[in-house]
Amino acid sequence: MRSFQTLSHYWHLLARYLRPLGLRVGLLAIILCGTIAVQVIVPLVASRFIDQATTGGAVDDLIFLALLTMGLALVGQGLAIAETYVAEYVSWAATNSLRADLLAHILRLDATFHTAHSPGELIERADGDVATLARFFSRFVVSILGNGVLIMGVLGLLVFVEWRVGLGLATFVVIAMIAMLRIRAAATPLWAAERQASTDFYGFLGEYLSGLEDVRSSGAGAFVLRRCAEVMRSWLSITRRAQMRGYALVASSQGLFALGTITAFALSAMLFMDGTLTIGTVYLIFRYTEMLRQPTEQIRNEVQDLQQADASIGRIEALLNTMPLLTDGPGVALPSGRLAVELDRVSFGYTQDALVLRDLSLRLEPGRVLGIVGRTGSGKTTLTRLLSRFYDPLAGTVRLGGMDIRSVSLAAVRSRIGVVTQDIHLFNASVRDNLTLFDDGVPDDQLRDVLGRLGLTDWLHELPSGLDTLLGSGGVGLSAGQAQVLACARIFLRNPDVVILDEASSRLDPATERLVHMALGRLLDGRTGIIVAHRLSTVAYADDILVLDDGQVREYGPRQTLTADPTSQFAGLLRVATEEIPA
Amino acid sequence: MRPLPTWRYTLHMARYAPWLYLLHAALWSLMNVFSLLPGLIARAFFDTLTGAAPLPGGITGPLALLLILTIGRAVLWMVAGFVEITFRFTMSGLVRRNLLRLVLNLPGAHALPFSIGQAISRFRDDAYEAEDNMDWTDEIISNGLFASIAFLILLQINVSMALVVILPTIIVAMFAQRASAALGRYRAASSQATSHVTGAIGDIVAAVQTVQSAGAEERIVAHFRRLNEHRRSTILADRVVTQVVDAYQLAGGVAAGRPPLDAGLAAQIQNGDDLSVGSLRTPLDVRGNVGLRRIPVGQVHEEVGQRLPLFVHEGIADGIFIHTLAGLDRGMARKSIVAELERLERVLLEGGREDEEEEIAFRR
Repeated sequence: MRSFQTLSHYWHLLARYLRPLGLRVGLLAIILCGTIAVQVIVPLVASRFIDQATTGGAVDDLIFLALLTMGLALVGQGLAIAETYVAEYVSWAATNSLRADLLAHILRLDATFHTAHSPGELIERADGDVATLARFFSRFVVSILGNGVLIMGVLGLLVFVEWRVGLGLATFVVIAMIAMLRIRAAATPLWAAERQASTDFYGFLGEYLSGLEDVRSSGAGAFVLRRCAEVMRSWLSITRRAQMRGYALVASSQGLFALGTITAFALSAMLFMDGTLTIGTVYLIFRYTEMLRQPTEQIRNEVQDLQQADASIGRIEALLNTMPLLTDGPGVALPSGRLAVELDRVSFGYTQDALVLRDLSLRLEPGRVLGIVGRTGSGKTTLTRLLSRFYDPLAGTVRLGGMDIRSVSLAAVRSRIGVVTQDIHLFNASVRDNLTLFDDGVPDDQLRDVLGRLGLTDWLHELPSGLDTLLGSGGVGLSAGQAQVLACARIFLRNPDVVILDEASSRLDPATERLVHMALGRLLDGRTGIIVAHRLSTVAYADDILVLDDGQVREYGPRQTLTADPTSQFAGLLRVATEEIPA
Repeated sequence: MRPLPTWRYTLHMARYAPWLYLLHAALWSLMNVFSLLPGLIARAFFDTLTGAAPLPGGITGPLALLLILTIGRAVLWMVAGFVEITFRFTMSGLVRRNLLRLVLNLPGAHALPFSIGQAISRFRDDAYEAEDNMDWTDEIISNGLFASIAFLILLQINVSMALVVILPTIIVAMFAQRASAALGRYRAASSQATSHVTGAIGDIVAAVQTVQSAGAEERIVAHFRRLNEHRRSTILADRVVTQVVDAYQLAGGVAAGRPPLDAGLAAQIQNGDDLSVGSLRTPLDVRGNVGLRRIPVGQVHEEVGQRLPLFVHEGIADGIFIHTLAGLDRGMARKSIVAELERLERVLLEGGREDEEEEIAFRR
């Protein structure tokens, strides 16, 4: 059966995360056995009580048995609380480490993987799928294992008490389980249809909500409302059919178990009249029969849900088995100090058949700043990604300080290069953590110093809790310009030898632009720099200019020379830009 | 923007389909009564079997009754199910349609102040909350009604018994009410910790390149582990406190031990020979003549003697405890709706002033 295959997959995955929690898992097993024992014993005590009461046992014994029942009930409550605690602890501890491992794995995977998988999809893996597993875990232990043992215990005791009744009920449970699984399986396609119907409805909603202005301006509101009623009507009819199956399932299981009770009653009544059974035992059989229903139903539900967890397990395993395409270099050491950057006949494309960079060569001496200009899609950003080895070139070599970066370890390459990307990502964390990226080793004085040098001292003073102020959702928001300066501060703190700036294309107000420019200037000071420039003012920092066109070098040379030459491409660009933005 | 109290919403929604609402309430109350009957029949079975109170026709009588009842319950269950589906869908459908109409009628050029995803969540989750609210209010009301009737019957049978039943329940319920404030804090803490984890996953996955180029992978994962750990401890506290406070289970557990104790005590008193037979009648056992040698077995079992007090207890626990618990979650959901509505209103009235303010503050 498929569900058992799933179970073994699931077990395989979780066993790795449960092993470190061995003691607690053992404790959980003990508590679970305890709760089951209490559940099984209570009717036994009651049955004894009845026998004693009807045959004239000592009153003290009766009181004792009654108090014992109450005591057991209280113990049962205590155990239930302990069970919740330990089960939740184990479940969260195990799935938390799975979640963290998944995230660490995602961070290890290279850019090729990340271009193919959207953040939304990865969030769904690390959050949604793991949550499914977590929920499933707690139910798996309690519902399948716990209930399984409970049913076994009850049936075992019944066989012990009266083997004919016990065997009869065991057969009954098996038949009931099979019958219910059949009915449920028949309902499954309808439930899928119901989910589809609700997806359709929200699809309909999303469509009109995103085009809200058009709907309003064209006066189509009445039409949309009518459509809404239509979609809802068909949704209701499917919902009704699907959910009625659910009700039928419950009704049939109630009916089946009521039949079980009637059979048990009839059997034990006959045995009682024979004199084989005491009235207490008849009561015990009745109670145990009643106790079989709930666990059987729960197991049935879980066995079906296992199949849904199947998809989540599969996706998580697939992700964990994905390996990065880039292999780490053997770890040749880079020379210390400022580094030269060199591209030697480099060709690259995100796919084999569409080259973004073609046979591109350039050499930037230590300490010089290169400005790259060119149209959108000319390969500017791609070029910077090759430098910090997010991708390997298809042909040619990228050298840093004269070394092929494939021979140097990834960590070493990236520790020497600071990148300010076009989109600045902030974390929902303190200003300090956002600057250091969670490095606790950086002293606050150094942070204040860097913020001061980048002109953010006033901003820092305005923050409600200084460096501890939360940024992001629920905290302080930043303007685009402030975010860029903050990104510069991140790089400053790491003090790399090569700085790559992929300038954001968004327009800034003059004050912010001044601030950003001051930060850029400080950052480039004394370092080898590469600027992907969108603004004339930024290009002013460059010593050399590279004009990229369709992945090829259109023009490459010292900025002064190119500016002075009126026939150069760059001079032409400058003229267009000055006309556009009257300085 | 002051929100209406929940009960006003409830009333408004019920008035949209009053007959459906009443039918739903009636059918599910009937289901409650039906759930009492198997216990009664089981009791009749035992009493017939032991000869304590034999029915004419012997044990086939109760067994046949049980069979009829089984069929009757199945039919009632299906009918009540059909009404429930229709009722729930009507209620959430009403909210969704009205919400859509509201959005369509917003003045011209203004888009929704939140993303499509958030907007969809309003339509899906908040409407579901409303539907759920409607579903259990009528059940709570009918349960409360049953509790009162059960209590009155008990009171008529035996005043001290009735008080013994209701006092612990009331005490536990009061305790639960008190504890629900603390519970609210735990619930809020755990849901906040959860949103931090979810938010962090989003932040990190979006910033993969930044993290990788800074070589901060391990530190980020360590940070993420801390957030996870925090979520684990808050959720654990939430779950355990919820379970401890769960008055229903606590009092129900004690109640399970009660009938044997009552019977045992009755037996003891009987031995003392100083009480009239009539005073030994346990609730609803009006046939009397309960001797030590002949305690009706059926009575020891959880049924009218215990069911009735449990009913009282259930009604009260439902009304107070479950209501506050559910109210907590709903309260939070509603706060977020109100906050969104206020935001919507602000944006509509003032345009994009928020962004401007940020820029001005920056220029200073």
